[in-house]
Amino acid sequence: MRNQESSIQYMRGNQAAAEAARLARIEFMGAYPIPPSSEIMEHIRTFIEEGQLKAGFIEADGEKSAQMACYAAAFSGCRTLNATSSQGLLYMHEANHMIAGSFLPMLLVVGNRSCFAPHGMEADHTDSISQRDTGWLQLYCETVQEVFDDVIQGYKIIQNPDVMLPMFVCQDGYLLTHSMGHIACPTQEEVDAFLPPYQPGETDYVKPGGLPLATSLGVMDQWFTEFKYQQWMKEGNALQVIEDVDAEFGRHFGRSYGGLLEAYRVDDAEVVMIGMGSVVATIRFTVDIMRSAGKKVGMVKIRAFRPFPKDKLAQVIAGSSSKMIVVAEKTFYGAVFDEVRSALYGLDNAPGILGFGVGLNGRNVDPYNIIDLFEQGFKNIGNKNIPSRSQIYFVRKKN
Amino acid sequence: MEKVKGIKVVEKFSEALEMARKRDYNFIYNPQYFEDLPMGCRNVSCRGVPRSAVADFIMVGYKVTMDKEKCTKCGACWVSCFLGVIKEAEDGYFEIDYEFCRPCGICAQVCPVGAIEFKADHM
Amino acid sequence: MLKKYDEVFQVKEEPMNPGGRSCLGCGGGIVTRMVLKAVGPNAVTTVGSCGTNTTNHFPVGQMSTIPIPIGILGAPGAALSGLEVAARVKGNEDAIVVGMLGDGDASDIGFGNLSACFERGHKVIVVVVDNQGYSATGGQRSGTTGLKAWTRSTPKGKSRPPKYLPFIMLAHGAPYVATCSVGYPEDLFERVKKATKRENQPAFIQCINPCPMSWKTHPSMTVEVCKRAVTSGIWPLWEYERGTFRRTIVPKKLTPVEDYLSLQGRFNHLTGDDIEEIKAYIKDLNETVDKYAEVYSKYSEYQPATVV
Repeated sequence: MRNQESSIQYMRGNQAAAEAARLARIEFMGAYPIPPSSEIMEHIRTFIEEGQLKAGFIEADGEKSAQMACYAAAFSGCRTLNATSSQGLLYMHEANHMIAGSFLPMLLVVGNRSCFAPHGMEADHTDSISQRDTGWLQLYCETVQEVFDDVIQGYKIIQNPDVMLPMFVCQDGYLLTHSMGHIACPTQEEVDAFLPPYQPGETDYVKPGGLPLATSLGVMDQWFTEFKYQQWMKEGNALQVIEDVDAEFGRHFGRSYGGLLEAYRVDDAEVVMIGMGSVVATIRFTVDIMRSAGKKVGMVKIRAFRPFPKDKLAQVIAGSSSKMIVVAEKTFYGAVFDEVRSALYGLDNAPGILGFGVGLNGRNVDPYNIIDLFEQGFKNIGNKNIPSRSQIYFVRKKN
Repeated sequence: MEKVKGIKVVEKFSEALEMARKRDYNFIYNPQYFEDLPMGCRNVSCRGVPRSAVADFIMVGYKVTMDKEKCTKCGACWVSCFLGVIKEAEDGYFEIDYEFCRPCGICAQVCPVGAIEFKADHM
Repeated sequence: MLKKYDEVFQVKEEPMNPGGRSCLGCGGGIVTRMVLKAVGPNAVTTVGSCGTNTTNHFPVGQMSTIPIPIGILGAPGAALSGLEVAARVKGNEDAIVVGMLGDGDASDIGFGNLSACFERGHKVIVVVVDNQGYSATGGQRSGTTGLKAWTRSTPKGKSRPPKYLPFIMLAHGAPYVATCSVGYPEDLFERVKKATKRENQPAFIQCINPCPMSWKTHPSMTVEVCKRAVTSGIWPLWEYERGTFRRTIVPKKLTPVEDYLSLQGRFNHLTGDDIEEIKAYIKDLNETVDKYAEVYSKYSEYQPATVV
């Protein structure tokens, strides 16, 4: 795993994230263990103790403490990393609002896992989607290679002076965190050429003896709006920056992921499925199978959930011939479904939109389930009474 | 059960004004509700209960004056100021920056020789 | 200048910009001044809840002349740990990280954090601005509220004695623990100065100061009421420094506790029985402090206390 030359390595999602963070030369990690993300913290600690990474490290007494320590470190100008899942992410909710509102960039690798109750341990997007109002950017990964690449791209996106917002890099719990994959690891020099060191401006971080800066000041009604306007603008800037950084990454390393979203065989599709996370790999495979059987289907992979690419999605769907959209997401309350509906509002000849909660808490989603969902899509073309509420998909029926 | 003789706490503005008019300043004015206070308070995080035990407006007209004759340059007033508005002058005596003094009366109370007077103009 | 103020007087600059929004007679102002004078300009600090509202309000201007992340109620230990590690990573070995926590932050909502920070042994100074209650939200009770005190959430008086944090932090193995009072600001300055030594960190200092709103004291009595807290024995002043324990300021003779209680409107409802309970509490507390002194002071030379 400790490579000196660019090579193909065989590693899990957690290992990939830790290795990418090492190559990105992080300066601080504050974390607390929780399955499935505990491993990232352990790898970083090993790197520090073996001298491969020069960084500060705090294993805190709880996720809120860990995130507050990251807040303090980002406030002091360090390139910061944290890694958590499910309940831990919920516990640090207060700190998440503070970090985004203070415009302190840092990366948090989420091992998506379901939230209590009931007590679940498998892959589910409820935890990171529940943080959609905090103002953090969110990228969802399809493969282990993408986890590796998104950590490196992530730091480049967030340290852009027009953005300066924190970001979640989301990988499905156990489906990506603990699944081995072959990934192409660049060398340290290649990463340094793409990702310069973190040099915040005079007023972006603090040093003792320097300017008496403060974050999270008390502002009365007079000035709160202006602060939030700045945050709103930064999130808007992120739409373009995510696209640009992905294209630049493609020029440097030969792989890119389409920026905010990727449209796959959508142009002449009748039914298009929209997905996020590792289920996209299954959908992609199923689309190929169904195409070879003559069905006109396509897929859109949402890579950035925040900021949601509403304009780009509307453009892609308007330019296609689709008559029905099926949204397959890993939450039970239809968050992606609502976003897609609002993105496609007002389109001429807008397709119908069906939403399903699929694969909750790691229930297996195999190509037959995807074919089933596409069939539901075909059946409902022309139906004027599509439910406005996202539904739950259990298992495919026998026959 | 006999109660301890404590300091008188006054909660209504009208009562405080009444006592002030009679030159009886031996009380704490601690209003409990916004209606009892004729002016807005300084901070709102305590849910509208005015934060000053003696609201600043009652101290309008109060002034702190230093008497150089009695002053022994001990420095007790300088150390005890909660805002830090007392500064040392060239001659070694201490002077108050009246632009930021509010006033509270701590310096008058700690002065061991009574060189600082804290009273209202009309007294 | 009295001899005891000489050392404080060496620091002539005021580390706080004027125009603060604290209440009239706020004891926290004196604590902030002394602490910031003692740590110097190469420092970074955090504040508790009242400090959040009074020291920094946009755009009135920032009261503190050193950097300060605000709004960290509930995780003071974590923020101090992060600041300290980040300062070393950035190459600033001499930066002092000092936190001026509220008593609610230290003993209730942020207690777990504080304990973990001391357990990990970060090189920080923690000064607890103890006004015996949650003043920023109106004056409710906290873990350190005095016995039998009226607060907005204990209108009939708090029935249990306060949580004595200094002994708890001694049990964490902290190399420096001290208690202070704004009745003696020069003593607070000296304690913080001692705490800035690396071998004395993590250091814990708890300083009692009045909140005129929730204690119902007259603003001019801020310093006097905390002097009487020390001379009546209800708040003994001591320091523990790496194996030696000594009382720092002792009264020549204990003054009656009624003198301390009568200055505060929050004790107006006390009966004779309540006062007896408070006197028993004072006796217990001072006996425990003397036992600690006996156990710890035989390991090093004895420095006599100041008698007032």
